Amino acid sequence: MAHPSKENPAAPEIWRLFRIWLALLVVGGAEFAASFLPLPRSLRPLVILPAVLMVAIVAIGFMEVKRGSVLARTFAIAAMFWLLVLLALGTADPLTRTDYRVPDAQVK
Amino acid sequence: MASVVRQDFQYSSPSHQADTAIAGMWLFLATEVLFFGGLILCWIYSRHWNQAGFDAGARETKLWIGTLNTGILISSSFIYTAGIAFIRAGNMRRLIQCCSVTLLLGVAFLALKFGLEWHDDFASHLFPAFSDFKITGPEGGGARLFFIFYFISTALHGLHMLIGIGLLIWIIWRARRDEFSPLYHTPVQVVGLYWSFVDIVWLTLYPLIYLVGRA
Repeated sequence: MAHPSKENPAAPEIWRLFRIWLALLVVGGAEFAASFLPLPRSLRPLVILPAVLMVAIVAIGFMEVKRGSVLARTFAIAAMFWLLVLLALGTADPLTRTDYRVPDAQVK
Repeated sequence: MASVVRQDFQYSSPSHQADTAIAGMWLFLATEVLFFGGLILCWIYSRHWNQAGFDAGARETKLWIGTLNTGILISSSFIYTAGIAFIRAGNMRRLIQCCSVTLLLGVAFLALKFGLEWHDDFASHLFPAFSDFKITGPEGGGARLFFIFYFISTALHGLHMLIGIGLLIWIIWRARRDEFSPLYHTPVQVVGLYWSFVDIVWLTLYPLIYLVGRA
């Protein structure tokens, strides 16, 4: 009997993709479970962290960013850099501002 | 099946042409990252000032539909990428099958999202422009903001899905005409990048809409 990869040359690649799919389901399940943790409201955005890992898995496993040309990888890295700049500068004010309570006597 | 691949005149080789097409798609996706990045920024900013309202809105979303749709999109990306592996091995029939299953999963996603979930949202008075919006009181304003984000982001994502479904039909049509081979399947790869990116956008929207506010 011939080796499966000789009968079907795509078999090793399909097996690799299957493991990536399983990993995504596991991380997605962890994310789903984490959403039921009794976290304080301000810390609940941490539930997004598994999604960041899932995005990385899809980019590396399915989109094969590492196998792409130097130019393609540069665009992918640039996209992440620009996104970081957008989110960092955009959230700098609301996340660092200190609000002072107005005394009740001054509230009309 | 094309056994000889020739590049257009401006490229030095077929692989140069393929690399350029793939890099071009990555550049397009970089602009898409910033497009959806603006939406994410809106979510961060709006939620920061309206946490209770955002959480009240999130609790009204249909978690089972969002979770099922996440599984559907992850599976569709897996199956489409498997199709790329099959055409690399010269198996056109399997490529067409993979694209067809991906297409069906994409349609299932849209049916669940817009046929069932949106319909239910409208019936439950969760559209933020309704005067009889379901959530009232001190959380009403924040909840309306949440549902503005919800409807705009899912509509934009759905539009990208529709474009992706159109591209899948185009790939199936070309594959049935035997236009791809192990040597030439660049359009299959480029559409695969787009489809996986649409998957990535949903992986980001899913926790923002369904999970973060669900305490």
